[in-house]
Amino acid sequence: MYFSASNTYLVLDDITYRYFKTYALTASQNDFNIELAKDNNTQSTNNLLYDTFHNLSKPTRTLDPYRCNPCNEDLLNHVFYLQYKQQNIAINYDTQSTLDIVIHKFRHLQSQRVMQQTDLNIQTKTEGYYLKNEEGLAWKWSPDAIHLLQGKFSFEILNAIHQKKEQDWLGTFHASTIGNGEEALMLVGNSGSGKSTLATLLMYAGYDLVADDMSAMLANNNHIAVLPAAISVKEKAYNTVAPFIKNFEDLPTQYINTIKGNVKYVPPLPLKNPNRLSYTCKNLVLVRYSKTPIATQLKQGGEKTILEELITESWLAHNEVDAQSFLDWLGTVNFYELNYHYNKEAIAAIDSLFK
Amino acid sequence: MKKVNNNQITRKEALQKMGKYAAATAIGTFVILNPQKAQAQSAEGAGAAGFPGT
Repeated sequence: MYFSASNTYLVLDDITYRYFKTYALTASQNDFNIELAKDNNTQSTNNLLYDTFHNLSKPTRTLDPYRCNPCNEDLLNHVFYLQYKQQNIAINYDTQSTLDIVIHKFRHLQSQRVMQQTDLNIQTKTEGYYLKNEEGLAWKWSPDAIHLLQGKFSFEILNAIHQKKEQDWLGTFHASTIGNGEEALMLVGNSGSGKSTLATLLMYAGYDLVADDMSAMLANNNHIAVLPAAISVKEKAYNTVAPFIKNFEDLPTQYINTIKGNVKYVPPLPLKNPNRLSYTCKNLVLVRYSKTPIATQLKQGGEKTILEELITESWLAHNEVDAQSFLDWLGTVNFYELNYHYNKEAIAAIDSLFK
Repeated sequence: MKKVNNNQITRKEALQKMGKYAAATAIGTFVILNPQKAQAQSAEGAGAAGFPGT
């Protein structure tokens, strides 16, 4: 279920759904209690259900909290040019350290200066980071919100490449998406589940990398759009992916911290169909890499876990039309769980879903 | 994922935890899922080590 007032999704069993229908049909909490009393629930259960439904139905502000008014910008003396297909983007920046925060995933798209381009301005200010796009929309983040700056930057690159605006997207999923040139498959899993490593291996096994980490869905057709960002491969996965990648040691490396160590950025390989920039997605796979050897298991199901991961870790547009479209799409996809240790077997399991 | 049992915490506390929680009532279950308010990348990018003043 979707509550448009609060942009909240509710997964509930048949019994709770029946109670929701009772909530929707009763005029007051007292009437609701009278109806539910027929089922011999405790009063606390009835109150919990009523309060939950009631709170989810209250309007909640869900605007991007980092949006700000454009401020006086310092003169940005440096420019980094990107190109993908016919789209050119100029990143105007103040210092190399500012650029380094966002550019590693896109460095492979570096190009020469052209006249027609989309401009993005990024700089480090006293209180944090500041980004402004071509339309004059601006955002500010504190120094500890770098992943949000990076996410917005990637989203703006996506908009420039596809010539779209935020309202054209249904959402951006925290997922990696691969494809066979005709359709796509989304890999879902929490951080450390192995989805980026598996996406890298699948790319070198012949699949398209449609998107890594941020898989964006178009609102008008539920297709997943190509985001040609490099995959960030953690140091612990170097040995796994290095044999497949020519000159792996020469790829750009970024030091994160003492716990996470370094990451390397693996650029996407050319697409099978270079002119097709979005794909229908019919399969959602929850990825669970096991450090210890286990028998590879691909089984249908896991809807609840996948929805928990997919919805709470993703940005989803707050409007009823897109939410309905998202729910309709969920009704068409197959849910799978993939538990594995051996990469070759995991790749074979994914192969089986494309047949 | 926090498993919330209404025997263990008050209803008010349960509602304050809204965002991502499962509730098990006496006879039914539900999970509340709130999307993020902005696009984000995995929190593994560059740290703020280079930020002035940090």
